[in-house]
Amino acid sequence: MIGILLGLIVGVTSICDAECDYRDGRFAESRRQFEKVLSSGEEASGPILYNLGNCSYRLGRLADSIYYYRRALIRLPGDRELLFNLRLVEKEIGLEVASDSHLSAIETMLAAFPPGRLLGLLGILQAFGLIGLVFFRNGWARTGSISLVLIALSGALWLARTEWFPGRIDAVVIADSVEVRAGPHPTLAVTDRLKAGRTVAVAEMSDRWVRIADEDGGGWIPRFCVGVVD
Amino acid sequence: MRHLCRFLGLLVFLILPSEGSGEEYAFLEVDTVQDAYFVQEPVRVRVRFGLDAEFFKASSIPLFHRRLDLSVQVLAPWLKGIDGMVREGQLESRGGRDTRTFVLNDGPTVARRIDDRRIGDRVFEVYEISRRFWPSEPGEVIIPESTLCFAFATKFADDFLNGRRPLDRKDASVSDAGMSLTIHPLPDSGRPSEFTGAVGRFFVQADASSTVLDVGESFKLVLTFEGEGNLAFFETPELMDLSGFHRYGKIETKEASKRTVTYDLAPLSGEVGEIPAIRFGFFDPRPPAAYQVISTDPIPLTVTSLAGEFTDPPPHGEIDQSALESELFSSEEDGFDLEEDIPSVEKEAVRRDIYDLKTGGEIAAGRAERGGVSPVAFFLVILAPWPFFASFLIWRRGRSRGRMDPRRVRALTASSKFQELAGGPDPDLARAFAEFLADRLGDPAAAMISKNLAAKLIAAGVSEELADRASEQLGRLVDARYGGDAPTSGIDTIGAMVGELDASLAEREGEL
Repeated sequence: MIGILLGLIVGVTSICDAECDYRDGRFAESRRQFEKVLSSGEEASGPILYNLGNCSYRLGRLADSIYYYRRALIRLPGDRELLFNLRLVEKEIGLEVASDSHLSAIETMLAAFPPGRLLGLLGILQAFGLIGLVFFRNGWARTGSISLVLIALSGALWLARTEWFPGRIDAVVIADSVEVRAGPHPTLAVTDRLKAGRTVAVAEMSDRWVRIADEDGGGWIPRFCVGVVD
Repeated sequence: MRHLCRFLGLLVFLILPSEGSGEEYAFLEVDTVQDAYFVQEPVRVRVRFGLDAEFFKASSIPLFHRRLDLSVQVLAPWLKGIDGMVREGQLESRGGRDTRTFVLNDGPTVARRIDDRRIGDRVFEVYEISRRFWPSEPGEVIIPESTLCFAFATKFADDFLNGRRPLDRKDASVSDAGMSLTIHPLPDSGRPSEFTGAVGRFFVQADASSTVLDVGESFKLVLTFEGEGNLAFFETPELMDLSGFHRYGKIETKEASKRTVTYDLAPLSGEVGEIPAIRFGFFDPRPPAAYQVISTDPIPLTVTSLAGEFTDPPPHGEIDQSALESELFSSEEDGFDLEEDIPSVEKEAVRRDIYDLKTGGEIAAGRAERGGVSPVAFFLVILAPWPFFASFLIWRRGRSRGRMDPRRVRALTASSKFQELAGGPDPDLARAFAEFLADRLGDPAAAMISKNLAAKLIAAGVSEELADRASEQLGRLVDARYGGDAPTSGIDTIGAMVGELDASLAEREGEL
């Protein structure tokens, strides 16, 4: 208990130091402090990753900032400031930012809820829908009940997918540029080149190489050139 | 003060020798170079003992069966560990040329012979062992008392079988009172950011395994730390932020006089022209005690990369502001309308910079950021209601279907209808009973008055005995009705029979 308390106190002190360094323009030192806090595991990682993104941005390391922002986005989905910063940096670095589809907007809205609260909300919607199906035989009320049940089930499916089947792993190119090769060896043919800050889907990983998948087919890039978004 | 006490002790030793105390024939000293040290500054503690050469040659008796050069035992348990200090692995007396074996605490070891010491007219052979310690925290460190033990005799007898035997064995000992050291903390003022705990005086050198590289090609950078101090204890640089390089890992090797760190690095771009100077800070405790920062020499590199066929992203700060604004704040093309989404932003003051840090309150709130959903909770909330809902629907449908079936409706109301018909002031029991049977069997009432009634009842599941009774009863009622006589059975009897038939038929329907 005392150890946890001391850890929290040390964590809080480190955060204060990091914030002071940031305000004073010592972005490198601030970044180091936030990294120390992050590795200690004592604080919520979402805001810390966001702050690391800010520090990297101030240091001119835009690809690193995108990497940190994307990691923070997993933990703080729907955070407006985070989304703004990420889009701003992607624009600065010259990446095309895809406009949000309606589906992704809905996903963002759902992701903004804590999972437990969302589950409760879906349960209530479903309960109302089922009760409506019991009592209403026809008409708009029955249609509305069916709609409620379908919405609840869709939300539940989405929740189950995000919680237990997260899907693809992303990575951000942190090197200035990286060559995509046909295989995991530096002598193999170059099939593409990626710019810093680009987000790619990871299909496979080894100690030194990462296989990416994109619309052009994908290939292999050195592991040290990317930061895996986890 | 300590030296004065030692002098007085020697004086006493010379003037007033005490039999059995051993002070006349030996001495023991424990000392350090200085009385005060800094945290992590190495402290060499020396234990010296002197033996009257002639006396020990003539009169000493072995203490142990094991053959030793010096028949003495030094008791200094603190050599195994002192509170507040970390000890070095081995005694420093090992490896010398002129060494003698003796017993230290509970085992044999060797002491290095140093210069003899003449006290009065006696020559003492002096031996020394030492060990290094590293103070781990400021404060006072106590080195406890140490004792030198030996045995001697003044009379011996020569035995043909056992050799020289002592006749008056005396056990003796001499002690050193111990000492205390003052350990000072390292000063906070002037501590450089490069300081990672090194105390002493050090030199560092950098070497690269290769200086002609391709982008991404790994090479080894070796940092060698040498010098006097806590070489094994300080943290070596991580080099995680070495500009232009990626660090795969590092390996360390430690030797007595140097520490080597090998980094596995790779240059990230062709613009990297050198390995920059690597700075290292340490605290030099020698007067004037102060922090120092040294650095390695930069190592030139030749890094080859492919010619760029695409445009590099513009460096930070050189942004086409108007293009950025039009792209960022277009509400027609982008789905992400920053003007609408930014909280409390005036239309005229459009945001062009990232949002500020998330501070302590937001971090604290973020501790409960997402959590998860357990499969059990998901099942209970979403899936569990469905079986109940389905069961309810099936039950309700079954009930509705039952209500809509005319035969079923007749059967359900047969008993109440009989009661109604038989309960009137002038009941027609024959008709009431026939109606009951007709409702229950789903046939017209007239069809009940037949010889096959019993068979129909049996086919409907009524027992043969009851069916026969019911058929006979209806026959009697019909005969009584058309014969003009009063029925032979009362309404109660018929009512009981109706109840029996109802129960029997209902049981059969329930089975179906």
